[in-house]
Amino acid sequence: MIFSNWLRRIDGYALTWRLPVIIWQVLFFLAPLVFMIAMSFFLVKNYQMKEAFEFVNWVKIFSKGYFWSSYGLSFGLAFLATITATCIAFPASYCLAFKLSETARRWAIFFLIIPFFTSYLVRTFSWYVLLAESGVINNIIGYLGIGPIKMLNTMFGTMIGYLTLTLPLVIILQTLSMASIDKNLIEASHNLGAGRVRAIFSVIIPSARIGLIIGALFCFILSFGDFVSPYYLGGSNPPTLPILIIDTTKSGQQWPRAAVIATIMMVTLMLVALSAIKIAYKKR
Amino acid sequence: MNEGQIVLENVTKNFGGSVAVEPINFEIKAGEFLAIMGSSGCGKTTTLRMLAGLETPSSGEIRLNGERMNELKAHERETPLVWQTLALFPFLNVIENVEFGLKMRGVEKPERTERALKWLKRMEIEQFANRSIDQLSGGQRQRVALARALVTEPPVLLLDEPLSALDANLVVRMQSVLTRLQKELGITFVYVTHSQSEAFAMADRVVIMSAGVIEQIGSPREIYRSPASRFVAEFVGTNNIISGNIKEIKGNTMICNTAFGTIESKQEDRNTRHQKGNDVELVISADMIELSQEHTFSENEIQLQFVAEEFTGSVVTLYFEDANKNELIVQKQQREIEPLELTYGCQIFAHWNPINVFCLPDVKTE
Amino acid sequence: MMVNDKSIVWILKIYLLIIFVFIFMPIITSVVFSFNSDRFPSLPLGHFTWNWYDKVYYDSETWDAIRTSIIVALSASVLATIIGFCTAYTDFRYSFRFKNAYLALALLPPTIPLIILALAMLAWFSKLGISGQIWALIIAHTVLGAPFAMAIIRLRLQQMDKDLESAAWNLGASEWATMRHVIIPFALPSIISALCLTMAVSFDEFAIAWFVSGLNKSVPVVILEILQGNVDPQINAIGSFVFATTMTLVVIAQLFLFTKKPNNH
Repeated sequence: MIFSNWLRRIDGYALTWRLPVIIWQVLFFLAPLVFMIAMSFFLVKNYQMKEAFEFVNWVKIFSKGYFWSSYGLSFGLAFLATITATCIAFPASYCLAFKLSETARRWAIFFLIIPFFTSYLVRTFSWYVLLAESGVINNIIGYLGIGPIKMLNTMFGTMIGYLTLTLPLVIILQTLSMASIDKNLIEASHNLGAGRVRAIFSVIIPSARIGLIIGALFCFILSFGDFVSPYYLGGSNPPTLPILIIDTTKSGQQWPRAAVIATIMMVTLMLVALSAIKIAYKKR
Repeated sequence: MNEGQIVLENVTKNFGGSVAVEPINFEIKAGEFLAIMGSSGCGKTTTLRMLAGLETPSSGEIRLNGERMNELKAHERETPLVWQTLALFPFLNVIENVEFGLKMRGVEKPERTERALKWLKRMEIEQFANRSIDQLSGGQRQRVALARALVTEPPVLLLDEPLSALDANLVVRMQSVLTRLQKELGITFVYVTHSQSEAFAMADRVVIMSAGVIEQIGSPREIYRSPASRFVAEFVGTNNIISGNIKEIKGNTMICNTAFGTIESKQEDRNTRHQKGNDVELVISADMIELSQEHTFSENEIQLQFVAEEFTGSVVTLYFEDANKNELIVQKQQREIEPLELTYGCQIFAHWNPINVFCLPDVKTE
Repeated sequence: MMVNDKSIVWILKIYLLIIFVFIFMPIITSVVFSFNSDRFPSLPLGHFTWNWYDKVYYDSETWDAIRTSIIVALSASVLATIIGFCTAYTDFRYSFRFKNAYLALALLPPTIPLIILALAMLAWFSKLGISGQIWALIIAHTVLGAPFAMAIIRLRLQQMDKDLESAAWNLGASEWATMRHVIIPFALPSIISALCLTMAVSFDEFAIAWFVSGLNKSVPVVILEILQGNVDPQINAIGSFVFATTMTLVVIAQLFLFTKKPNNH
């Protein structure tokens, strides 16, 4: 009875539009991730993966010193990139949001979208050429009598790569959140005698908090998951977690161990995202 | 039984937990121009949307020509609607918009064009047939919306505040277009509006709704001259509503004690249903009060002080107070008050005929 | 105070300019270097040359990669746009229980690092037995593109008068006819935008492609492999070609997204 009622209430039209994304994402987005987590418990024997439920891979990974140094490095680099990108982006976003016309702001955002659609690999290669010991930048400062400075294969190189990847997105998110602040609020704080700096800290940062934190969060996610910059610009010594995943998968054929690393990365990111969202939306 | 073309029987509508329409009952006769009037959120638009099949009644029955319509899908009905937003298709030009209903009914292209053109001519916009919608003025879009709704020659046309976006002078022009169209076509118009002037200017009958309940149904004249509830009295026209207590009932005459002293009301069948001692409210329409400089009547006259005035076109709204600061509003034509030589603070006598004094609430016979 | 104010604004604008230079420097230099004769570019620049483009042009591996990229980008963009449209319309039209979970499922992929998705998809596709086939790449890029398509089409539907759909039913169009004659025509500019943008996303993605493509290498995978070898300015030539292609797609997408404003007052 209840079932037939339920059957009659099925709306074929509504389901036609609702189901495709569910089916597709469950089959090809959720299932791979779940399978990957399951795979972290599989065994490898004679270069063959065998389905099992053993903690061997987890124990192996957790007991390796190089894993923990990679983890610390990845987290530290991503965190540093997040702080750097947020601070570097803020004055630029402030200028875009408050000191430029609506048209200029729209053009600027259009230009900030462009980098998303240019090959990150090619951009990294450009930096590789620019930052090299005999590269263009050392050429220029050489004319000034400085250098050459070693920039490639250093943490500085990695940071340049991370910023190339994340800065446009961080600026866009910061600008959008600041542009939507009620201008009267800022006027009011000026009227109450707050100087520019006071207005920034007492009005603008609290009001744009959500955008600032979401921007920072995306910066962290992108940096934490990127393997190109730490490899080609940072020299991969020691490797970051994504590089470790690639090495373990591609050369070692140790997919289950790579899955352990990937799962740990996912859990880390989830915790970071949850705490970021909690900070962003907490009541003051 | 000979029932109306459209019948609503105990129709209700709930959205989630909130009630939009309480059980309502009324009939619409074929060829009638009916207005449903009320402020926003009163349930008038929900009622109209139920007629169009865009909302399903929660209970009750809607019948068209005696047949139950509740389960009929919106696209299976012949009840086109003219929308408040007009809802013209921005990606179609004028004639394609008008042809839409015919296309959906499988009418072939040549016939479609011919019939659409006929309606564009009728609405005097055939020269814009190939224009896009955003090149038209507000009034022209209005005409496209009407042509689009009428092209299938339906028995009923529903209109949801179609004139609310127009300039005041254009509203008056479109009102006459609509009334003439309705008379010529002889079809039923159901017109939802919050504007009293629109409803009273065009409709044969008006339904007044408030908070999902029908307050009164009647011709504009009936509603204007004898409001059935305090809500209607406040909503239509400018009325003085005076609280009082029934002192005496003699036949159709009722005498009440009020802040202005005793006031007499003379009503054919209405007053007999009240009882002595009841608290009531008396309604005197602001334009039914006569003013004079001298004391002329011994009854139904009070002395007042002139406090303020407000011009709205040729009509002037005058505000008076008695010695105890009770306010009375009077509406007069500008030329009528000139001989009175009113100055602020001057004393004046107000008089009315007891047959224009109504008693609220109107107690209905069971 | 006023003078102070003006100078601060100027300092901010110069700062903004420096940031833009930083962001666009690698893009511009890659185009410049692609015409530069030096194998390892430094100042002063060498002479103008088509040499690197010639090398790419006569390299059959590049052409195979371009063919793969085009097939994958076209198929994935069509699939992603269809899925994105369905999701956007569902979000626009319906409210239902678990809608938040539904939207989360639809919009989550961009928040998972590509390297993790790459490993997960490699494992899953191997299990399904399609790893290394072009299908694997198409499916993966559809997952990545669908959220973007959904967001773009949803924005357009946001601009639609909600009465438009009801008006079509009222004029005798069934839900399906309304979809065909009203919703799709209205959303068409955003559908074209979504096609272009998801194509661009697919054309640039390298991490998953590298893991699951097997021998069907796409253009970014070829770049990655050249990058792993020696310094070779061929990358700049291919990169400039990819850049030109995706930019064309992005500009078309933006044109459709922003110039056709709806008019339904």
